Amino acid sequence: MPASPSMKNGDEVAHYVSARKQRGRGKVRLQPPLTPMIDVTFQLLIFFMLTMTFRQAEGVLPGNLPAGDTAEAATPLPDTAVRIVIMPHGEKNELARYELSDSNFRMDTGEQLFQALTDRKASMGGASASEVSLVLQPYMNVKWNWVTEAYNQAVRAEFKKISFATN
Amino acid sequence: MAKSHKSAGGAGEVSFNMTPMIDCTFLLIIFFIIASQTASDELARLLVPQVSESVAVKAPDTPNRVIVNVQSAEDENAPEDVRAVAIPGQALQYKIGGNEIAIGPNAFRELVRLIREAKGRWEANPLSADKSLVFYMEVRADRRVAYGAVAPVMEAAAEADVEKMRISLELYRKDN
Repeated sequence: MPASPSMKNGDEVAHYVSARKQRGRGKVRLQPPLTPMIDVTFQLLIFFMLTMTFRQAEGVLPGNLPAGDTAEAATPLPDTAVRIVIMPHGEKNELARYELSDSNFRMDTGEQLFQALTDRKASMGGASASEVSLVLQPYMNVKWNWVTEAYNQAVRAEFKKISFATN
Repeated sequence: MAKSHKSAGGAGEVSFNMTPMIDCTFLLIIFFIIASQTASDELARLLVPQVSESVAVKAPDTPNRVIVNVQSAEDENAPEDVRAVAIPGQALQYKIGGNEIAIGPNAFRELVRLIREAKGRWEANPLSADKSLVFYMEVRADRRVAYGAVAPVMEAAAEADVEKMRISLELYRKDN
C-alpha cells in the first residue's frame, strides 16, 4: 500500500509500490457533472426543432418610380408603349390573365407572356426595342403574385423601362 | 446520465462515451439556430411572390433602403377574428421597421411620413456621400394580397421623392 499523508511514522509499514501500480490505483478522475448540461442542451434542441420555419430564398427585381409628386409626375404614355393588362381570373381571383396592347390574345401563364413579349420585341426591331416603355396595368383586385409574374417576365425579356400605370 | 457498472471483482469500469453525442447535439442546435427564421423588425413574416423562371437577384444588405411589408389578412399569423372574415386579397397591415400601419384612410399619409423619415435617416448617414448608393424602397408584399393594397405603397414612395424601388420575390428555383 502506498504511503499516504495521514500515515505517521511507525504506524504502518510502507511498502514499495511501483509507479505503474500507483498510476492505476490512486488516481482520482475529475469530471464535471454533465447531466444538467445535457438536459439544457436537449431542451434547446427541442425548442428550436418545434419553432423553426425555413426562410424562403428572397431576391429583388429593380424598378423605377415616377419622380416627384405623383399627380405631377404622371405623364401620358407615348404611343409606342407596350401595355400589359393583368386581369383576375378564377372563382376567387386566385389566377390571372395577361393581355398585351394591340392584341386580343389572352395569356394564362408567365411563360406565354414571356414568349409574347419576346415576339413583340423582335417585331419592333431588336435591341432598340429595349428602350420602349412597358407599362403594367393591373386590375386592383388581381393578386400581387401575378403582377410580379408579369414584371418578372418583362425583366426577363430585357425591357428596360418598366412602369406601373397610374390613374 | 453516465451509467457505470463495477464488476464484482472490481476489475474494470464501463461507461458510455458521451462526447460524440454532445458533439452531435451541439451541431444540431447550431444548425437550427442558423436555419430558423428570426422575426425581425424589417422583414415581416409573409409569403413573397413565387414566379416562373425568376430573374430576381439577391439584394445587397445596405442601409440605403426602406422595406415596406404588406401583410395578408389570410396569413396564418393574422389574428383569428380577422382571418375568419378576410376576403380574398385583403391586406392586414403595412409594416415599416417596427411601425405597423393599419389599412384605412390614414394609411397613405402614414406611409409617406415613414418613408420620408427613412429617407431622412439615410441622408444623415455618412455613407450617403457615396453617389453609387441611391436610396430605394423595397416592396415586400405577400403574394396573396390584391394589387389595390400595394399600389398606395408605390404612390406614397413617389410622393416622398423616392425614385427607385425593388420588388421582393422568391429567387429562382429549379423546380419552378
